[in-house]
Amino acid sequence: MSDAIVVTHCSKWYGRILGLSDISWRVSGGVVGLLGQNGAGKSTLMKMLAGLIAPSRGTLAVFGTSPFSDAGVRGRIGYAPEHDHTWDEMTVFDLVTRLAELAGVPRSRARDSANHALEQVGMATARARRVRTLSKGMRQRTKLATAIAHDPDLLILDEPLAGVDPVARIDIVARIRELAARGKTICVSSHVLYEIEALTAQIAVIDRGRIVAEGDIAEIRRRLGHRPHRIRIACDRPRVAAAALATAEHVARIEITGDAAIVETVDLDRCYDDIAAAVRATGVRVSALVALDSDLGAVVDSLTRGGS
Amino acid sequence: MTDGASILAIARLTAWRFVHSRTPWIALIVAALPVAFAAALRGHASFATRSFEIEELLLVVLPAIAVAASITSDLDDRAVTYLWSRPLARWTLMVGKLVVLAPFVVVLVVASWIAATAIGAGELASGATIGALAAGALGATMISAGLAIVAPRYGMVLAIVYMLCDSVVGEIPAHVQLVSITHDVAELAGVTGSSPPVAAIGLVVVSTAWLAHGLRKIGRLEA
Repeated sequence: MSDAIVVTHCSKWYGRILGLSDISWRVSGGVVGLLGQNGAGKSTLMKMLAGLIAPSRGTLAVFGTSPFSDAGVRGRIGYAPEHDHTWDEMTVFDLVTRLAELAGVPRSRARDSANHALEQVGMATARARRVRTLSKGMRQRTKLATAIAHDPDLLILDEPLAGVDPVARIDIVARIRELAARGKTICVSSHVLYEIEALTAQIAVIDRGRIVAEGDIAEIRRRLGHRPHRIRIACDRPRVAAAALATAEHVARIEITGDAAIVETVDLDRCYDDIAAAVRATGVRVSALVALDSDLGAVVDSLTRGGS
Repeated sequence: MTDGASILAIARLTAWRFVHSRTPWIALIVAALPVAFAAALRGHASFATRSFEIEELLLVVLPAIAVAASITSDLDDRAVTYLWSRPLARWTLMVGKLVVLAPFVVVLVVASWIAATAIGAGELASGATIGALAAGALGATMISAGLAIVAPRYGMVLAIVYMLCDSVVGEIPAHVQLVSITHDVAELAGVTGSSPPVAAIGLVVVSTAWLAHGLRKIGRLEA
């Protein structure tokens, strides 16, 4: 199977500012996550993959050709940008239909394609709404619909989960997984580790324009070594929950903050098991359980230190 | 996707967005100004000498409002990422827009002139003046499109400033005035001078050069 994406020693300058620095990267298929802090270079790389910008140096090929100079290959790419700027005066259906037409779907089939895409992302009932009236979650789903309406082979989704509420997040993750199950190659970016984990085990971590780690997320976690992970347990009796967990040997520290207990652990899996056991034993009511080790700065710091 | 299909898709999108914007109404108001001027000077001796100059001012404003603003709003707006990520040759964006907007500008300028002549002088406008203004409107549209690509953020202002300078250059009594399309239009209409073929060449060369420059540059634009 040939690689869908081949990036070879790519750099990108914006004037005197370096956006990407000598990146080499291959994606053969499946879902791959691009993880990095804001300004790390994720969107620059994704724009290059979508053919919006050209590398200043190096080569970038999607399905064997440059998406910037070869308009044809862009018909095999579906791109959902990070920003929400679009033609807000249109209805959702108009927007998706017209973008499907512009992506090469014949006019006679564009309406059917738009309807199908909107059904796939759960926006069929909102098809007549003006884009400007949509919530953030609906905008994200609409962007996803514009990216898939022409049935592309490669999806490039830039921060598709940014700013959406937890319910919409679960739904969008499910939709992306469905697309992956249908054989699409999907490149998805995020600055939140657990968002990417919900989508794929294959990630590349980008920092200051360079890919600092790539591969299986478990392997990258292993490279993170014994750096403690933090879990925030929001519940009605955080002191009781903390007391129940305090004796576990993997727990390094517990902090009480208002209505939550923040647990630092060196063994994330065992900690989750123990939290479940503690909840059953004490009867505390948990309203949210959030892994705080998504602090990507710490992850990147750890990776770069490990590599040096 | 063929280039022809791309141009048609862009043209349909442009027409939809144009109709749903305020631009047609603003353009109609601007085009009505020479008619209002003609009504005010109806029967006055100065109408004959001043009316064509007033009408030529539409060439300064209308292409900038309708064409340059449309192109710059797309290029300067991040929504252009939706266009650039589609399998379209970039130049088809410019051509697709011109397919819709150039006829609009030409028709508006010609209609304004016909109405102004009928009201101000009580007669039909001559074929030469109508043809000259139509050619001038098309040329000014092509220039505005080219300028909008050169400076996407300031396309409309640049187009107006260029056309104002063009009017000044047209007053220079030397061959350099042939690069002024307002001068060329006046020559074609028979209002000034007596060398319409040379003026026609000047108009075609200048407007085609700007359009060609825009088409070449748009292929290298990044989003």
